[in-house]
Amino acid sequence: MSRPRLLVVDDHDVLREALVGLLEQAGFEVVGQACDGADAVALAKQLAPEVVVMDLRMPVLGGLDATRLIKDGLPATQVVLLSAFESPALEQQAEEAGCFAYLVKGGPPGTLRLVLHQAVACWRSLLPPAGSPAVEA
Amino acid sequence: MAAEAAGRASAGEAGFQLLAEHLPDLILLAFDPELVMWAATGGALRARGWTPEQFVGLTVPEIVGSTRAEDIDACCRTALAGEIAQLDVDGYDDPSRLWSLHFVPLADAGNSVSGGMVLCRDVTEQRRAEQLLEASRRQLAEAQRIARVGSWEWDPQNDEVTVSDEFCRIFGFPSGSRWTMEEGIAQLIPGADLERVERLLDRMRTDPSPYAFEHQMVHRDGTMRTVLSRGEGVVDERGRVVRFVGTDQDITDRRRADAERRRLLNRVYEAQEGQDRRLAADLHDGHVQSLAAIGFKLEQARLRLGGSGSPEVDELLWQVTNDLSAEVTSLRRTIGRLRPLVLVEDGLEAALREEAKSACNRAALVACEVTSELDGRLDPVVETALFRVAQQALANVVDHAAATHALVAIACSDPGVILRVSDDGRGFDPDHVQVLGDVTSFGLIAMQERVEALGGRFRVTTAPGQGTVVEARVPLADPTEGGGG
Repeated sequence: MSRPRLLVVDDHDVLREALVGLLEQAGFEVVGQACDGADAVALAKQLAPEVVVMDLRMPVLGGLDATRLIKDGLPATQVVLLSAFESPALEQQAEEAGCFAYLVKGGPPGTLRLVLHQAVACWRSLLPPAGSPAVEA
Repeated sequence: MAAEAAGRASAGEAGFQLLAEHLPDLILLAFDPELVMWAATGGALRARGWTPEQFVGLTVPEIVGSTRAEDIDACCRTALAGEIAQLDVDGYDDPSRLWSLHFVPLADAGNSVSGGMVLCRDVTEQRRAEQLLEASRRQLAEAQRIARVGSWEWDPQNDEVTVSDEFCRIFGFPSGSRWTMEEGIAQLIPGADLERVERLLDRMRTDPSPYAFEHQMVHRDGTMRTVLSRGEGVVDERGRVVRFVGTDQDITDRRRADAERRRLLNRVYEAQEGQDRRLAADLHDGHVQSLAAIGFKLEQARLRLGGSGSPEVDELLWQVTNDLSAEVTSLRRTIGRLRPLVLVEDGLEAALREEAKSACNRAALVACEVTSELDGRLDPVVETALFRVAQQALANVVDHAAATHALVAIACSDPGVILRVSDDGRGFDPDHVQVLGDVTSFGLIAMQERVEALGGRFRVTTAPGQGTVVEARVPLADPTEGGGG
């Protein structure tokens, strides 16, 4: 089975690169990187990744708005929001925007990988059955 | 000479003596054109054990007193000239006494002045009382001047208002000014306060109970003064208000000082919040991201080692990553306290719900409920202040109250907002806390100053075993702004 394809979005270069390194090591394929929400939406439409790992606060377009736009065009693509803020209110907003999960940066090790595998499984479950017409992305 | 004088006693004079003897505090001395006394009578004469013989036959200056002999002589001559004269002199046999002497002319049957009479009254007590009254008046005026309090009295029947000199001075009117209430209101009450004052006036006509309220008054030069007005009615035997007495204290300077203090406090809080925001931003944008990146790298290293590394190294890396995660969580909470993001983005109610949830997690609280009557957002300064008060109050619940239930309630009241944080915990003795100087450990002073900086009122109601209610009432518009300086 091919490696799950991810898009990684964060405006903090050091963190994004470390995250990409971890995810690649963990068996994911990082097909694209973006440092703001607008680029993330454009890249998602172009690459149709299975999961987007998205920062919350970013220039140009924030993570919640970018999630809404991505989910509008790519309903199967799952967005895992990775935020520096621990907030039930933000968690609620993330859920309303269509995020698969709301995780905090610096959380317990292994949690992110576990959630990403769950998101990939979700993406797979939403794929049309073999032989049916392709879903237009 | 004495025999001649005695011969003048007639039936009329006997009547006069009878009358004079019924005047208890008077001595009457009759004298002829040579100022020689020919009669002495009066109740006061007998009361002092004096006899007419002590006086009759002597001249008036001789008997009344040597030090003022010339003045007395002149007064007698004024009376002989048909005029009335008055003189205060020391006592006849007791220098501590003060006598008031009135010199009046006496006419004969032909209506010509034939002599004179001296009406002597001991006015020692009266003068002392007058001096005390005058001293008391001076003290009252001085006290009013120092306290900037003017007093007034209103007679509702005649609609007359009399005011003290200090009242006139405070508002720039000449001493002794008098008005009807309608004139006073027209001159002194600005339009913005007119309705309130007239409402009070209607009440005062029938209700004598004391009142106190703050309003604006217009100085004669047009400037606005802030006044604390107090008054109380005086009733007759049927309970009708017959007069109203009151004071108006000029508190303009105090209100200005209060406003300035609030302005400075707000600047301090603004600076503090700004500093907290910047620190939170630095921690969030720099340290949290970097530490999270280190965590990702450690996890990557552990994965890379995989089965090839020793189990001890794997365990160590796992432990270090976990420790790092715990530190980042702690740092994130610090950031949340410095800059509650949910408060900025979603408002007070949402922020209080998060704070309540956090309090439940930190203490043995069964429940921490939040209720709100708010409809929409408040001014950010008010939201931040009320949030900080609630945050401190909940911290007290967590750290000191041993409560099982807490309630954070926001109520709307015209014209402001009321925040109440209550718990069913152990409470405390406020006096004991004050005595111990332990107030700051509960953050009570900080909470109070925060509320007062917004022109609000802060109150803590508690007793041992009775739980605690922290209440902050904050106006939505500063009442001192826009009027009275």
